[in-house]
Amino acid sequence: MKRRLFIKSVAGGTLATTLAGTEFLPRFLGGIENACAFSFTKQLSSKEARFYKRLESGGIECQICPRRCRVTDLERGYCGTRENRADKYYTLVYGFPCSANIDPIEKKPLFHFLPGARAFSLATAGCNVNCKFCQNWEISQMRPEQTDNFELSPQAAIDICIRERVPVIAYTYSEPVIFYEFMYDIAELGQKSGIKSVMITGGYIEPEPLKALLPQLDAVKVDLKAIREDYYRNIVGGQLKPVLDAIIQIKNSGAWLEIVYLVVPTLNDSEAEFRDLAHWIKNYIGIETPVHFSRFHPLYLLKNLPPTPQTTLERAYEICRAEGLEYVYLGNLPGHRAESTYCPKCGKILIERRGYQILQKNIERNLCRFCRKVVPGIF
Amino acid sequence: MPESRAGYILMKRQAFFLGLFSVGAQVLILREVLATLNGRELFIGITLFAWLLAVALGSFWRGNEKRGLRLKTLFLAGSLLLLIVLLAIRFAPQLLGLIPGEVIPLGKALLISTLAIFPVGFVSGALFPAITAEGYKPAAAVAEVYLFEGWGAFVGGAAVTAFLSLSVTGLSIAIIIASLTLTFMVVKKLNLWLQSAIVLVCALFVIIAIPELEWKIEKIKYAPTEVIDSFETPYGKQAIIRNAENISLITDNLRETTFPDRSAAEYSLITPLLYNPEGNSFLYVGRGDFLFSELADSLPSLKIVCLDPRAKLEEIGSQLFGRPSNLTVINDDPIAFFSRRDLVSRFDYAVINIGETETYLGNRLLTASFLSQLRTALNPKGVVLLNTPYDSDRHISDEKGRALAVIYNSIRASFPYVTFWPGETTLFFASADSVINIPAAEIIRRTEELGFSTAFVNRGFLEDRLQSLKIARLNQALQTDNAINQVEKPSLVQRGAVFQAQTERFARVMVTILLERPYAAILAAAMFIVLYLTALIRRHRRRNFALILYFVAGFASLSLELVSFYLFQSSAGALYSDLGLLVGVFMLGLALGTYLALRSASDSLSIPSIMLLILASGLLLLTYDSILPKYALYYHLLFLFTVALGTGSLFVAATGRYYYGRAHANRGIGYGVEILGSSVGAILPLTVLLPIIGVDCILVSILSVLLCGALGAYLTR
Ligand code: SF4
Repeated sequence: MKRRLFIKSVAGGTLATTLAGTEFLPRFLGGIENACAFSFTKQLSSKEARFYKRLESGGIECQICPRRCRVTDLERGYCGTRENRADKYYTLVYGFPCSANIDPIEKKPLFHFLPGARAFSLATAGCNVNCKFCQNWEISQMRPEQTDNFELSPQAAIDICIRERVPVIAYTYSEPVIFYEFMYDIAELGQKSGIKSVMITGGYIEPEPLKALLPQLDAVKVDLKAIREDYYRNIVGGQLKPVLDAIIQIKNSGAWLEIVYLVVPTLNDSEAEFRDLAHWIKNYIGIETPVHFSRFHPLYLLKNLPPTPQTTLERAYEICRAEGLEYVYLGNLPGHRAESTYCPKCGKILIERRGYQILQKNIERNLCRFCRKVVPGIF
Repeated sequence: MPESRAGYILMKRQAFFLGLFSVGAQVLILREVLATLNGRELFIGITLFAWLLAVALGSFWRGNEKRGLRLKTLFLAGSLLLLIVLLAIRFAPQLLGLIPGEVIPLGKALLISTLAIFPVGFVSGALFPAITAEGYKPAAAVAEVYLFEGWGAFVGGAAVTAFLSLSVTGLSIAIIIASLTLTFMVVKKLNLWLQSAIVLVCALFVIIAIPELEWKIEKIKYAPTEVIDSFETPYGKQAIIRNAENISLITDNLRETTFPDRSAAEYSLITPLLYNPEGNSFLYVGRGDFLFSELADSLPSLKIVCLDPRAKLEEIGSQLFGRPSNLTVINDDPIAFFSRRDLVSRFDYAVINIGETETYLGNRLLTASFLSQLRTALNPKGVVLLNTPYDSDRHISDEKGRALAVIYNSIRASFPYVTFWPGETTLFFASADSVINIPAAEIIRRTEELGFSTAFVNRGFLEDRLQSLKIARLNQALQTDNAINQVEKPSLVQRGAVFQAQTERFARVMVTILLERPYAAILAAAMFIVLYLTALIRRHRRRNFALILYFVAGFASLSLELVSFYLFQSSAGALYSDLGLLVGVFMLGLALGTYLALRSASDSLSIPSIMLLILASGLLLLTYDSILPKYALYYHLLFLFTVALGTGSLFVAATGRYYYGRAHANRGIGYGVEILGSSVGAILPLTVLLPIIGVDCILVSILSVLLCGALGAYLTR
């Protein structure tokens, strides 16, 4: 077992006396240190997984996500985080995240959910798809023994939020569906302590586990990666239909929902796709659902594609607005007017943003300060 | 001797064309592999290894066939295969099912680098026995064939370099070589005038039709993106593509920069100003004209100098983006630029945007010695920024941490003050002055005094980016490795490759075996010692030790050739264009060494041959780091020629020992052992050991092998 004390090294190096000295979040650092000592471990959990069935022919079928992995003894599912041990299915990442940060909620992005709030963001290794553009491939495409994990119980996660006065926990970076049990237990505890839970997901999850989870969640951001099945097949390594079904289920559950569409040049950036997306949103989840078009930055296996042109994003924006969607945003274009929220009725600015900063806020208890139109979301 | 004068002339001509075709094809394929596989020179060793294997197999196959394929057929097949292979490499990503913009994973890159050269190598190998067998007495013809093959190889290699300097593309050169070979070797019945006319027509065809064909190929390759231009420079293959308003510069199949890219432009141009707000002279190592054109006007008091040797890109850049009045471009190689002692301008800021760290071409700008030179070009409060592509915002893997640590250590070896920013790209700032030591809050405050609105370098982003937690995490990662990147030992090449390999399971395993646990080196060394001792103590020592000499000849020649390529690339950076000349001169030396040794008929050549190799390697070890870039080409040409002379004569000496009195014997064993030595030399020193033990240790190891060879040759004389 490898143990490295995270904080010890802060004392070393020129930087410690300069940048670290500013301490934007000094207490958070201490909080985490106390909670989990940030000592990394290769230990894996042995918590029984939920949503699986034993097969008559032997082995197990995992029922968390549409992959429905069939796993024989001592094998793992596609995501690498669940293992069959003598026909009992275990999650290996429960209580062992590999990444923890405090992010602005705008970074997720969630624009209609507690604007300006900070979110304690957690992730474990593993993912149930393999997007060729993944920003977090170093944890999402790894098995838990390949990442530096640290021990953090659900209660410890909540304690950090309380101590550091962080109102939100975000399950993010990799795919929270694969650390379902861990997320579920933290969210359940969080509800009791007034800490809100948001899931940042690809939405590749089966209806049953989603149904059980949604009451614990306050908001969900779904990365709808495309509106074409072949894109999901070739670029994501998954299927579109279950994601669309999950989005509708989330919407119907009452949890706050926002959609992000990463516009990847030449792969999912045609006008027809933007139009189909707008139609689908209008028909199935409503024009008041916020939609973010994010700028692609070349990463992982798609390093040779250029970043998304601004005009392409603006075309997506115009098409969706013309189709009647009320809250359309452009992401990773700081300073662009489409970063801000406008009242669909009076057209005045409701929340002015610049990057992660909130410059002005004209919403009072979900109402436009100017025309009193109800603005959907949790403010 | 040939049976008639006409036969003698024909044999010389065939040997000449064999050399010309082989080296021309080998160099063109190597360049195409480099340009397709992102300029990663690590693949040169692997491709050469595949070439040797293919040549050996081809030679073995044709040598054992009583009535094998005729010379004519072989030349025809080789010429056609060369063209097919070059196109196949260019379209390899598509043929392997990758989508546009997808990087070639290491596993597939290995496949391309080994398979691509195989067909032509096989034919090339088959040509040699075919020439010596067709109508002549093999043993007597061998020396002449070697010599004329060497001349052909020299002409082939030099012609490739010369054509490239005239902006003739690789595909065009391949067509010229194929047409020459076909005209003179296949349609032999025509007279010289007609043959010359055919070649001329082919050359005209190349001039008129090939640019159009190349253009179509590029359009297909980059579809659906529009191709604005595509051409070759001495440093690699360029394409400029456009998607809506985005213009991207592609170098060796890899996106180098995009215009506009506000985030990259701000982080490169504005962040150093925050540490030294008083300065005004700015040096950007790379294509700053592509990156800064949208931003330079916002900072009129800044005098921006961009340093990049690819002059043609300057021309295109100013056509595409216009040229801000405060931006100038110096068309010079950065290493050559800083090696000049008459450097008068001093800068307040210097920026290097780090691209791929797995290439020697990119790596040479991140060595401690280059950074020290950069320091001398700075004013006392000057600030250097190294902008790395490594994301340290949310988590830092072990592999990434180690790559970052090597960069950090290398800067610290040259600058007393170093600081860093975590984020989606990790930034390192360094200075000889304590201007670097300011708190993050002050940095953020200074963004508000810039006098214009920034999109990324501002309070909103920096408060997130410069959180204590993220800084602490990065700081911890920077303690995980203590290697310093140097020309002598390019540790960053290895760390970068190990990090990139994490994207793919196969690559992860391969890299772990090859780079992290170099068992292959230990195994090779152990095997050599066992075979060496066995050869010394067995009966017929003189004859048996010849096999060791074969191995030494093969090992020394390939490993020294590749070390020379590496050092040349690290110094001059123009391996892409000068590879032909370097290989050609090496082949000429090899042929001349063989020829002279065969003619001398002395039976005690092994010791002088090895001594020549020892002398050349020793001199390389002592002098390689003191050669100015402008002399690097001549230096390495001389070195390669000398090594090749020694190797050629050692090969003959070994043959004389092993086949003494058996002039007509099948030389498969000797040749096979030499190929084995060459293969070890092609793979082990440069691909595996260089980043681990460094050039000096590699040269010392090669010298040790040579000394063992000399000692053994003496004991068994
Ligand atoms: S959660 Fe993992 S194991 Fe379960 S079905 Fe999905 S990929 Fe397979």
